[in-house]
Amino acid sequence: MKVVDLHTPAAQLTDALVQLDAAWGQVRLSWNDPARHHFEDEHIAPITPTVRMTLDAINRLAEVLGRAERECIDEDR
Amino acid sequence: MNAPANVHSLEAVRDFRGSLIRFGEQATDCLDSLHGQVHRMIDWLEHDRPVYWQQQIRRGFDRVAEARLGLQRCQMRQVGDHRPACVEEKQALRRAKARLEYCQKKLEVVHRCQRVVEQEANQFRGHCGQVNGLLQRELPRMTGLLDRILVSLEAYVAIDAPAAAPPVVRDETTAAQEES
Repeated sequence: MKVVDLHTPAAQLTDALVQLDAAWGQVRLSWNDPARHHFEDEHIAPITPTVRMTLDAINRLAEVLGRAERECIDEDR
Repeated sequence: MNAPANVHSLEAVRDFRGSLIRFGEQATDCLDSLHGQVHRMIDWLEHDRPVYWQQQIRRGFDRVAEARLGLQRCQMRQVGDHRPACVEEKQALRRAKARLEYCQKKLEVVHRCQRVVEQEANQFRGHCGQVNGLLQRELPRMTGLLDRILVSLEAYVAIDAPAAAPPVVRDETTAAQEES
């Protein structure tokens, strides 16, 4: 049995981002004026790179934790 | 003059506000879960593993002692000129020594992994600063801004005269920039 699982919360975070992107896609279909462009540039656009950077950090950490777990279990048993 | 508002569905903007709040909740839950998992791993490395391998080392010493005694007993079973080979006993002693060495090395590996994981966990917490800022400060600011945009747009569509210029909603940052 695995001690830790970082992949499930990482997948959930990815899903949440995909859903938010899709929701914003719907807004873009019905709202097209300078206020929307401003909101998109200033507030929506930074969300994806911030979350992606976090997901990269999670993947790196998952690799390190997975290796530590494999090295510390009793393979003789 | 301000550019005219072009919103076909206020409902879509309202729905997005809900999506933004859901995203914030889901992302916060994911981060909480991740921090919990990291804490669990550190706990496993700092408490569970050292205890386990120290027990195994103690057991390993006992088994080496037992195997050595077994070999000595076997070697004393000399009948006349015949000296027993004690093959099984020698194998048992070799296996017991190998297991003990394996457990001692594992305890060193655990100590090394504790340092590596602690360091990586600290780096990860640092990386989370930006996404925490997004979730704790930026998202509430965005929902507040959407509220103000919705109020303005609702007022705009309620005006009878269609040619009226729409109200322009800006967040605090933009307003401050425009004033300066």
